[in-house]
Amino acid sequence: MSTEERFDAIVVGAGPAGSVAAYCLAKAGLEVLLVERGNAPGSKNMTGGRLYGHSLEKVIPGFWEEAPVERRIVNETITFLTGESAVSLDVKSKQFAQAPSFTVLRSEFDSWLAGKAEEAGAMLACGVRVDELLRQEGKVMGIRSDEDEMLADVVIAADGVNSILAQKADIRGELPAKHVATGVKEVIELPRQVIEDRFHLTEQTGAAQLFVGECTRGMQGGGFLYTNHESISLGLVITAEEFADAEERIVDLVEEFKMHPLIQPLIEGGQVVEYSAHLVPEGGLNMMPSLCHDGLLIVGDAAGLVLNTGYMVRGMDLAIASGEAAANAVIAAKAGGDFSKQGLSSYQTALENSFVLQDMKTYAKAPKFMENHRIFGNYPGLMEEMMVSLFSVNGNSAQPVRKSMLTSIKRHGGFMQLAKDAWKGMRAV
Amino acid sequence: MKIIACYKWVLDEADLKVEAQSRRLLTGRAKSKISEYDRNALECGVQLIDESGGEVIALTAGTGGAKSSLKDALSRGPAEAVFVKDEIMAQSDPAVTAKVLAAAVRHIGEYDLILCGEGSSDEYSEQVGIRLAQLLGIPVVSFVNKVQVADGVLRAERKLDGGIEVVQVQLPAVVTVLPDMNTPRIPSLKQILAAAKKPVKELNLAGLGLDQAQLTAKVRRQTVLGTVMERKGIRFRGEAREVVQQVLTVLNKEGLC
Amino acid sequence: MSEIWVVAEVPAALNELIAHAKGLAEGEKIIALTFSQDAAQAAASHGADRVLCFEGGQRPEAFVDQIIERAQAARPTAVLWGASRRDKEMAARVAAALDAGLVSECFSVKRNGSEFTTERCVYGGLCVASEVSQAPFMGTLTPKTIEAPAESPAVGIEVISGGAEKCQVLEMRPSKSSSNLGEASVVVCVGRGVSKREDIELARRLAKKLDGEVGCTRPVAEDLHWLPEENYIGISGQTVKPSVYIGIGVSGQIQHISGIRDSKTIIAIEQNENAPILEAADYTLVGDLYQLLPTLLDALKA
Ligand SMILES: Cc1cc2nc3c(=O)[nH]c(=O)nc-3n(C[C@H](O)[C@H](O)[C@H](O)COP(=O)(O)OP(=O)(O)OC[C@H]3O[C@@H](n4cnc5c(N)ncnc54)[C@H](O)[C@@H]3O)c2cc1C
Ligand SMILES: Cc1cc2nc3c(=O)[nH]c(=O)nc-3n(C[C@H](O)[C@H](O)[C@H](O)COP(=O)(O)OP(=O)(O)OC[C@H]3O[C@@H](n4cnc5c(N)ncnc54)[C@H](O)[C@@H]3O)c2cc1C
Ligand SMILES: Nc1ncnc2c1ncn2[C@@H]1O[C@H](COP(=O)(O)O)[C@@H](O)[C@H]1O
Repeated sequence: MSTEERFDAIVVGAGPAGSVAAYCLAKAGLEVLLVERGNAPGSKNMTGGRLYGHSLEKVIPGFWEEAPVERRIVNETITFLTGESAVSLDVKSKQFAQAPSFTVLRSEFDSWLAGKAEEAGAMLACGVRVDELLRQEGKVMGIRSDEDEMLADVVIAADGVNSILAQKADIRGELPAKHVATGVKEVIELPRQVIEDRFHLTEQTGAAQLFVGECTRGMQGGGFLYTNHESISLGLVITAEEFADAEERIVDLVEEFKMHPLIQPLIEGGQVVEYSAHLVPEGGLNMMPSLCHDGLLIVGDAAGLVLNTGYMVRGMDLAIASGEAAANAVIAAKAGGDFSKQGLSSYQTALENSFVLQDMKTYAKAPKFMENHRIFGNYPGLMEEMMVSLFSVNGNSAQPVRKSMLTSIKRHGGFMQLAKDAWKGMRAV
Repeated sequence: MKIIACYKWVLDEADLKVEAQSRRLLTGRAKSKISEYDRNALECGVQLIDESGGEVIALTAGTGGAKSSLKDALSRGPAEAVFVKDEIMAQSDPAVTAKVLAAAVRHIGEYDLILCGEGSSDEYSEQVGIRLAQLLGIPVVSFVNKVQVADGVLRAERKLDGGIEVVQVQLPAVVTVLPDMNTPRIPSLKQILAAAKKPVKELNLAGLGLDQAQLTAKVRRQTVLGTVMERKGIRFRGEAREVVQQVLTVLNKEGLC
Repeated sequence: MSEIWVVAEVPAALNELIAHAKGLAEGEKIIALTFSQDAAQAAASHGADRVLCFEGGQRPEAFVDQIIERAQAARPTAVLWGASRRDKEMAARVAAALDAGLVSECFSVKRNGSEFTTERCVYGGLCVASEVSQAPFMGTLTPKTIEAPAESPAVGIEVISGGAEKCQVLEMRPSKSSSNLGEASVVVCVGRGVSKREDIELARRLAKKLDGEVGCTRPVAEDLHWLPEENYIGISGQTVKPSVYIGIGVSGQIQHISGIRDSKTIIAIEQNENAPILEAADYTLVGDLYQLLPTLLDALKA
């Protein structure tokens, strides 16, 4: 094999960000190499499992007709949990159909997406770990995997939250604990019919449930439950920093979460078929490295493009949009024959002008807001007390709602505090 | 030296599930792979070539889905691949598979050595390689964990129930290999890229002159049912001391301590 | 077609095949094809109607051409083979030559006239395939699936010589070790999670304490050669049925599980919660075996 072989672009990592970048590049006729360390795309990846469809829709219109998506979400629930009780806000709306979101399982979904890139003409190499960037006078020239070197005009780092490429390029160091959360997930198999009965679903529709409160023992983070065709994805995301000081192990919290009287009947009889743990970048804009370099673009989780709003984690739609934007920038750079930082800078501009960085900015205050323990510790209890007093008929003379609420609020931190948090919260979202 | 290495594209048994009530086998989510011991066969061929020159041809017979195997097989070192493609392979038994492979080998023409796995990961019949030799009228050395070739003579160690048997035979011959023969390589980036450029020859059964009678399985499969095992599935987690305490209770119940 | 043949290299297997043949025979005579005087004697005194002994200082495989010729002439209703590796090679060659089906490692054979229904394990033991073959039927039969018949008055033995083959045997090195894993009431199984050969000692100590035997997974025996081949458990190795099986660093792939299925209680020490052994075990100690095993050994000492 000739050592002179070179590609227009090498994309490292066949997650959603990388596969979409490779797909767009190949479709535009560029020679692309997509390198994935797992034996198959998706084999090493995990996610909560909920894909907001809008950004992939732009790249592959009507993708869900052919993609292995599990269910289309029609029912959203957010629940405040205390030890034994729960207060839920349950939303079903036809409007969700306008911006559909789907549950996905990564091993199937990622394989499909990487397959699309391959079909479009990208060269896919699985089971290959990239160890190093090749550089000459600061400019990235290609990659090294084991003893093999491969050259390209540009490298796209789509290698996920732990991006060794970004670290090797001295773009960022190890992630500090306060910029990441730990996510754990179990996939619990249940017969399709059981899932549809328990969640009141039809064959294609699905439910998404988010949880705040006791499931993280009041630590910053939350729980999630998504329905797939024949399984349920269930897990927790908790800020790594908090966790460092905690007594509990996250696996124990998951066990407890599963035993909660609200959750237990939903997964009863199911079999855990997969257990995984993964980091979630959540420093928001604060942790974001610069994304354009000479011969190198950084996309997806590697770039820290994740929104953790406290009640939802969004990363895949941002990953996809950033992959597309990076591909467009490379196509433009090729046309101009300039792969320098300057020549690739349209990537940064495109992100600034799209929802990706705009949403990141909107939620920029979220990390701070969420550091507030009352959100995860006190308020779920408050919600519960208020709602319970609202609905309880116990023979005692009824208090005016306002009064009972005030008693509860006082016990959970006082009115001023609540008002302040509410204000901060409003500004963060 | 020209070596033909046969491999089968099989469902990865690690992805297979059994539905508890019906005991039905669920293959929906299963990925495919090159049958485990056929990787040893491919590796064996490539190592022999590395020593004495020549080329390895990878040979597989399967349904259309097996096309995905070609790049993987070629990235393991063979110079070219021959793919006999026919949907009938889904219903094949060892008798039919061996006839198909024999026809493909005749089509390839000259060869010195044919390598097969000891048994395939899915069926594990341990027959196809041996049958192939018989159909081609050449000697077989089965269950081999060491080989050497010099001057057209193959010397091999067979691992048998009673011990090791060392044999010698004039090539051409078929060898079926055991997994401890070698450690199959993990293809590197360049090997994977090179694989995409290697020639693949696709054949069909009609082209090989096989008729329906030859392609009818002798053994007809009626059912495939999962073996179910009721187990408690209890996990002990936590501090080593606590975990051990819990298991002691179990051992105690068994009267073991 | 008025014969059922039984062919195997070792006497024990041969006797079991005769028992299977008796169950299947519908008036057919049972002909035993043997390759040593010992085996011939055994068959002759355990119910075979006729015993052939292929002999002449050659290995059994040297007689395959003769067996093929005889089978073509006699057209037996069924040929039941042993399941040693030599038996398997001979069976596959004869089947190919006769263009006959051959069912590998059946653990049950039933007959209805000219139809034979067999059961065997596929997918590493995850499933059982039930299959139908028409006479002439051929199968290799898993040992220990039937009681050997009682001794009966011996019949005569016909000695046949003159095998021929293209392979030249240079050397035969018999294996010495033997294992009694199959009978053990406690089995401690070493998997690849054990990272050094010396650490097998930990497993030995546990086995000793519980009065059990040490077994291993196939790669520990075949790739690493840390324990003799006879000690590996699974679909292609030993089948065990202890009251307690303890797997140490065993991931529990189906091919291994197939060999421990009949254990009463299965315990595993495993750090990866996604390892399949967790589904196959009654109790899993989740964690590092290098912490758990010494702690367990300590506790057992007390
Ligand atoms: C518990 C949890 C819940 C989540 N829930 C959601 C959700 O519901 N919705 C949502 O939109 N997002 C969610 N996210 C976030 C989302 O999963 C990520 O943002 C998204 O997967 C990022 O995609 P990516 O392509 O950038 O990176 P990844 O999906 O991480 O892909 C990176 C790829 O690069 C490969 N790779 C890494 N290093 C190398 C190397 N050196 N050489 C070759 N290949 C390499 C990896 O194997 C991997 O395939 C969640 C995350 C977690 C952890
Ligand atoms: C046709 C065929 C037939 C086969 N027949 C057999 C057979 O008869 N018998 C057999 O055994 N195999 C057989 N195999 C092989 C089988 O598929 C598996 O590869 C094998 O059983 C795996 O062995 P293992 O569990 O020792 O190794 P691995 O699969 O490598 O498992 C090692 C385990 O140890 C765990 N571990 C590592 N370190 C630690 C630690 N410090 N503490 C705790 N846990 C740790 C790991 O998480 C892992 O799960 C066969 C395969 C094929 C294809
Ligand atoms: N469809 C096939 N194509 C190519 N080789 C095969 C095929 N089936 C079996 N083999 C070879 O025969 C060996 C034994 O297979 P089996 O008899 O099914 O256990 C395998 O390890 C392969 O080397």
